[in-house]
Amino acid sequence: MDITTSTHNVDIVVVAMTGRLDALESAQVRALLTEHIEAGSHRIVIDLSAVEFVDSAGLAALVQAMKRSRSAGGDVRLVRPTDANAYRVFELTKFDQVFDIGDTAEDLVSGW
Amino acid sequence: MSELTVTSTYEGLRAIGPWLREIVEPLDDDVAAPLLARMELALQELGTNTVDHADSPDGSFVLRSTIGDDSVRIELRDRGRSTVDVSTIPTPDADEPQVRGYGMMIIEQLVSRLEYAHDGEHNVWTATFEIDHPASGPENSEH
Repeated sequence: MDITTSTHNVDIVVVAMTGRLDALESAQVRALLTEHIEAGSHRIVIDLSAVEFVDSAGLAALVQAMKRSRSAGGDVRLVRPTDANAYRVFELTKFDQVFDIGDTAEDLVSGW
Repeated sequence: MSELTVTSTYEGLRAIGPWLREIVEPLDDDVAAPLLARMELALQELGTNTVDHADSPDGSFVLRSTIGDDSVRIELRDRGRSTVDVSTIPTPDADEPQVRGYGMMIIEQLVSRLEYAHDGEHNVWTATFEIDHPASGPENSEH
């Protein structure tokens, strides 16, 4: 019998947001996510469950982080907004099929 | 008719949601809520486009609403440069995610009709949202 044990210490950052992820807030979100990525955290869970509104500028901040993370071997995973209207922009742009989206941050973290 | 002057900044766009809420207030809740959600996202995208590209000399744009029995019409009027040719806006490729360029794609899926005109001094966008009245009452019930 062969038994192999390996230990993985994976650096996963969970970022939780509330309120509106719109053109006004997107620069701040973009800067925060860039900071994490440049610090070497390429696996990021963004909890959008309490976000009430997302527009294309807010979406762009998430997409940019996702592309940079994936190119570094990581990913950006999203917790689905509870408010269906806040999720609508993902469906309209088909990014609901591009992002790995789950119902809780715990599920997304444990799946890594 | 209702009118709102919006400061042409991202912060200024935050005034649009509350204004739209007042417009749909006379409607029944089950009609108003989904209509408001469609209108707010579409107008946010249209407003962001204006902030980013129109470069209006007076630093603002004007929204006007007209509500009828079956539709709400919102007109966005700004004095910025005419930079928009809707026919030339590329549709993003779903297989190649890009960071920007989704605004018009989003708007077109939310409005019932979208028109653009440049009258010499103003860019004029007109977005029409049909009101989805739920079937109700004995005259609409199936027998």
